[in-house]
Amino acid sequence: MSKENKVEYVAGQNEKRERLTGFMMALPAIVLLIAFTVYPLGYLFYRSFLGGSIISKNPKFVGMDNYMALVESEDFHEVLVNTGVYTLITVVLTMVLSIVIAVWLNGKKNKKLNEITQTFIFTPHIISVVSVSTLFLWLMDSKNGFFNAILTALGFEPFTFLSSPDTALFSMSLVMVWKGLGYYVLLIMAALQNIPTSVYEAAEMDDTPALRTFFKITLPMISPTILFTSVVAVIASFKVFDSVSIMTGGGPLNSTNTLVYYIYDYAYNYGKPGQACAAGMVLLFFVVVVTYVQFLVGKKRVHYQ
Amino acid sequence: MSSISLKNVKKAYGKDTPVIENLNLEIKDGSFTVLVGPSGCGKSTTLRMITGLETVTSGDILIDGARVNDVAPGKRDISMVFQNYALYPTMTVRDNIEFGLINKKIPKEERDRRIKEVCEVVGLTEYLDRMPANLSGGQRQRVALARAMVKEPKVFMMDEPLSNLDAKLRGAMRVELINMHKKMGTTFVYVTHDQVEAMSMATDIVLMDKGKIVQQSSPAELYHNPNCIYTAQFVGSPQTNIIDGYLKNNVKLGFRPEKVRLAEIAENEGINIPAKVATREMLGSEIIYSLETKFGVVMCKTDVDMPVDTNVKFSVAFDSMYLFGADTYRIPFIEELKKEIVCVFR
Repeated sequence: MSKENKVEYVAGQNEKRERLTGFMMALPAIVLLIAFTVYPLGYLFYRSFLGGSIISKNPKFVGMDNYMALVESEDFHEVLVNTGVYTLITVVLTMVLSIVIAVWLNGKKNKKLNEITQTFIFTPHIISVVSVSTLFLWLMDSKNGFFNAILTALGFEPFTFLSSPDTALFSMSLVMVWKGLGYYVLLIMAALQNIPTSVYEAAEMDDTPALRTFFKITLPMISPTILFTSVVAVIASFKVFDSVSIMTGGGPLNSTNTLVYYIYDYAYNYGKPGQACAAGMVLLFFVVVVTYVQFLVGKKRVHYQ
Repeated sequence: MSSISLKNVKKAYGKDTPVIENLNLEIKDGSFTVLVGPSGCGKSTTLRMITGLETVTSGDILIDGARVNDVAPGKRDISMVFQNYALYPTMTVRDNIEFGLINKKIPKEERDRRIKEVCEVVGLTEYLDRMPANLSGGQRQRVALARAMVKEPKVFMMDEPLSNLDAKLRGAMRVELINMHKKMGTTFVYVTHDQVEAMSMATDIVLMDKGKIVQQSSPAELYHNPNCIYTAQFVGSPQTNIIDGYLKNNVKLGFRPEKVRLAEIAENEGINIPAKVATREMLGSEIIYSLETKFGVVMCKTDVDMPVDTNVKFSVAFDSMYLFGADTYRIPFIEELKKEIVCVFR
């Protein structure tokens, strides 16, 4: 009996030491996480209840005023709608295109062509948003742009692209879809390559039409990756900033102003950090809600092996 | 029910030397044909060419006399059970079984009837709503079988379907497959590298090596009448003893370990060779000995129990001997050779 107890005691001490080692190893990550994520998040929340400007020494507590200002601001409503529309266009286009292209590239035919296409499609991903935006700013210029030069040469009317409030947001979405596509194609191709060949052979033996194979076998089998990529894509488009800042500055007529650009504008151009922080909280809220909903849907629809 | 024939079939991948050079094979209607051989002998490739999953480089494949080279796999009226089952992991057991029937546009009531029937046969009724991931290996195997059976095909193909199961389950499934074949009467084509599976289930064995058919016959014929050393040694365990280098014209003498008797026989009935027991493996019902003789090591399977190092004299009857020529193929047992054998082995 006493011997047994002793053995247990030794094991307990070992366990303690092991726990401590584990904690020590995780410590650097914990410190970084607190300093750069938890603290800023807490401060964002706290600052959203304060007034004053960016240089005020002791900003006043204003309660819900910043949030009320957002609720009453028509500009902000527009910003929310813009962000939503931009996200919808970007994510839907990105997902559909990347799945179609990945399935096509994963096919057995035209190996050489596929390799070249894969390289080209991935290239925009490694170029910085700033370069891409600057490039497209010129390509899409309504007077001297390359696209319109082609359109007029082919006998079409020039397109307004970024210069009209009706087309600016859509044009910007297209640029970002073009830029991000390669990354998503790569992820989806990796998932496709994990589907065992024998499953497709079984489908072939079952005389399955190609479309049915795609919808009943391929799509369900890559659904975890589709969920992951769509969550990543949604969050990325919620946070779009650089392209807005360079290509349009939120214009024309506030038509491409999105949430993060609005936050930046209010903090540094209008000197209202409180309202910017409140808008930051709204962004956080939307990201959390949308991600949560996506995982809820995923639980029902996504097949994990 | 249907017969299959392969005529001058060749299969090559790219510019490499062909894996199958010139294969001619007849699979009889309603037979349980087992393609057996070591890995890389071309048995799976042959099976996959019959199903259409693999194209034929040249030659013809006929099912019921009709050339099917250009018919899609799904249209050949063949079902296949894959080695790793190849179930659709995102579908329930029922959906897995039903999938092919929906493709064939079989009406709902007919589908339900067939699924019910098949699931009773393979014992899956209570698992219909489970996902394949939540089934054991044996149950997945049954789903794969059910999926193949429910289509009521003309030919049933199986590519090492039992190799992922444990030994006990494999034994049970063997019996079930024999029963299934008897009940359905469909042509079965089965690929395995396991000689026990081949011998126990087949009505017809096709033994292959290096892309060629070595011998095609019934299991009994294959065992009692091997046409070359390769066949003689492939079937049976321990493998057939081959004594080489003592007879004229490079003739080799072969006999099975189970035909070695530990008693002397008359000189006109066979040969008697003195030996010493080198090792002893107790298997329960029988014991395997390796015997040291001046002609090399001879394996012996018997129920006589004796310790290692015993000096014995064993005998092999003439009618248990196989003679092989220099090209390793069987040669007839003529009187002259009998005399030579008696003179040499004593």
